[in-house]
Amino acid sequence: MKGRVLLGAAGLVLMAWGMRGMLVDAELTAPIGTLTWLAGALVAHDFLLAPLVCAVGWLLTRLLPAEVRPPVQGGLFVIGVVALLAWPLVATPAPQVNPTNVGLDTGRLGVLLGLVAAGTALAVVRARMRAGAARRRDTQQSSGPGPSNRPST
Amino acid sequence: MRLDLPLPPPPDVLRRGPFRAGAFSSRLHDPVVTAMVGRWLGIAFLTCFVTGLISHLLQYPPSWLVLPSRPVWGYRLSQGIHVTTGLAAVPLLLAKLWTVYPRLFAWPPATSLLCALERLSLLVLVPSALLEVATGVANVAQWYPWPFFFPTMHLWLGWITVGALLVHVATKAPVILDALRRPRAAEPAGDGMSRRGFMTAVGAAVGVVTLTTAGHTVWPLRHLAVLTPRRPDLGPQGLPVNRTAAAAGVERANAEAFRLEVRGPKPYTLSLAELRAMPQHESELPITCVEGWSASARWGGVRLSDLLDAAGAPPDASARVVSLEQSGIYNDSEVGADHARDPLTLLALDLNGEPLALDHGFPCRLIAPNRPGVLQTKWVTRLEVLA
Repeated sequence: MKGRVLLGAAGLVLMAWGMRGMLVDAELTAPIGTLTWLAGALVAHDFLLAPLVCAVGWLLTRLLPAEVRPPVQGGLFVIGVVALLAWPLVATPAPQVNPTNVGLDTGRLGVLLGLVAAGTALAVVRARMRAGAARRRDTQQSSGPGPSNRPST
Repeated sequence: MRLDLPLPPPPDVLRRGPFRAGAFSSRLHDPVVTAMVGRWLGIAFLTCFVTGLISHLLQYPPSWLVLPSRPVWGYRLSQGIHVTTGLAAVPLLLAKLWTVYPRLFAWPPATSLLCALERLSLLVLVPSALLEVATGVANVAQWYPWPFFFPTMHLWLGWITVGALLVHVATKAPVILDALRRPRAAEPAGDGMSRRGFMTAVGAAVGVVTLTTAGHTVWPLRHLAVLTPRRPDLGPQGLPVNRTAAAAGVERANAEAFRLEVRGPKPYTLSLAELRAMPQHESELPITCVEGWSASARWGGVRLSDLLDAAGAPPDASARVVSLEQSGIYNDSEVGADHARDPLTLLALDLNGEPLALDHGFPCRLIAPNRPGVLQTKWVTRLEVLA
């Protein structure tokens, strides 16, 4: 309990130091602008991105059989993260200003997304084979002690 | 006033939509999963905090601190870790927040005053963490769609984020410790994604992000750098440029008319030919930018310590280099005594065996070990000995 109190107190000190800095450097941090962007970040995540993810998850439960859903969800997560990180590269007009800022190479991005899709497809095939094997095991077990799969020695 | 003062529950008619019991069905909305991802996210945030402070100290050295010029690769390593870890934190943060998303709609919203305070503290932590990571990602692309100055805001928000994170860990310690101690076998039944599957997906996202971004500073991975705007091998003379001459409003200096002015106890000026007539030295030094890219290059030119000696500077004097660039906050920089006297620190005239390209700082630029790129002042026109 003592450790927790110390940790929490240290946290409050760090927060206070950061807030002090925000105000001392108000000309650079534009506190109202920063607060607006903080609120925007919260709304964008909690009321746009997260509900969107939930909606996609809900759709997947309607569209896909249970055994292939996890690999598809994982693949979509990776693709979503890649898309989020590619966004600033598309949004900046920098390539015209600075030739060494090569921006987003759509060809390479395509290859990357293709590789993620291929990895997802492999995981789906593996999940289907596992589910099939499990089903066969179940039917064998429910139809009593059938002939053993193991070669007799 | 007692902090565990119970609060009256709100009327049940308000319990609609996501507030309903069982509105979120996945078995991954579970403290064990949250703690598993949260542990990695916490490590990532602390790593970014420490390396971020190092970057800040090197860019704005306080007067009481003498910064070492060695190791040569110090800033390259720490800033590479800062940006790579920050980018890897994107999938970790999203995954972590997703596991606790149903808690946003917990019913009743607060059972006690302490519980209400704890939830309110998340109003600091969650937006701060999101904005801190988002601004860092945008800075890698040099995209600034906001009204604040990025480095200053990112620094102070970093203190607030890590402070709020410590408070969060302190308030949640019993849940975290219990979750991390519980055996893996305790996974709730169900047919959805398993913990192992979830951690595999998060790990895959971290792996993909790292492999496709680290190449802007890790040379062997350069061809994989898809999600960063710079490649360490692309640019004039095989080196990227952060701020071009056009962006800085600098025109090509006349090589005949150019004079380097040196101010000090024994002031003097040098033409470009006179600079080339001085003893020339070579240094293999990296350019490291706060945006995370870095690349090593072979620089040739005059040792800064030789120029300072000629100006009669005492050995413990620091120096200032001033650029032809008229405006901008990085048109001059201070060189601390340790860096100024390092034999690797040059007023460079050549890059990879050729005279500097204009975008690399023609006619001459500063290049020093263990120093942020924005302080490797280009288009140098004046050197001042500071007391």
